[in-house]
Amino acid sequence: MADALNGGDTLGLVLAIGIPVLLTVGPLAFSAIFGSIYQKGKRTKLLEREKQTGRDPINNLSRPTGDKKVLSSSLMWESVVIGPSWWQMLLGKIGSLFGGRLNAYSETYDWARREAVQRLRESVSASNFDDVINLRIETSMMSSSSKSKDRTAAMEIVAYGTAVKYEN
Amino acid sequence: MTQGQVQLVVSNTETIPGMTIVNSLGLATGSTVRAKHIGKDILAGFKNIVGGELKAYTELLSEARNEALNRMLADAAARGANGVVNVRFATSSVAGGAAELFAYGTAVVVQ
Repeated sequence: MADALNGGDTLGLVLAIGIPVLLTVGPLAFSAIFGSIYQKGKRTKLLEREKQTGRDPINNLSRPTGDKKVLSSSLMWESVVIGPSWWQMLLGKIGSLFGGRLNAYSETYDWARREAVQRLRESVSASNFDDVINLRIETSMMSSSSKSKDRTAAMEIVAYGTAVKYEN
Repeated sequence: MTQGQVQLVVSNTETIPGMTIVNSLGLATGSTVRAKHIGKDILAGFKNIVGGELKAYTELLSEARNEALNRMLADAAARGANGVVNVRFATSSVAGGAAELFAYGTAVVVQ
């Protein structure tokens, strides 16, 4: 270090500091930039899909509303496993030092839930059912297999309900 | 993804819409424990860089849940039921990297 400074070897100094900084910040910057682009793309797609099917045929009442006759019914479910990006996890960790709202996490999980419900809507209308009653949404964390190295933080969301077909 | 066996009516409501329950035959359960594949684990770790859905896990857990559900249906069918009502799912992580998927409901005879 002293040699480098004395000799004016600034290139060496830049490399000595630059490479470690690049190695630590680089992946995070990559995660922040590409993660936000990727997730934004998924979200706009989800919004389009929600528009296509409409937000309607789903509720969590225990019996069908109105006095329409039910022809058939069946249990249907859809699930999604989703994880925040490294950048979001870092934001979450910093945020949890101060407490309060963790936008990075709540956003990811909010969208994951909408995705699961949307998938249920799509598979229900694909199987020619009219409505879903008694919708339940369940969330569970997936544990990581090794504590130190595994950086995956995944959450599984299942949406399930009874799909019904009415007599017309 | 629906139930595996067609002859059973499955519902997560307390009654089956449009049908009447004649007889209750007790609790039907089905469970399975699945572990993550190490290769998929590593790939999922990379996918975590950008965040979003981890498709490998979604598939794995869907498969496992289907199996738990089919076991529950087999249990119900073995009791002579033709329907299962009030089905609930439960997931818990047992050991590191493994998840238990559990499906339970009340086996019933419906008309």
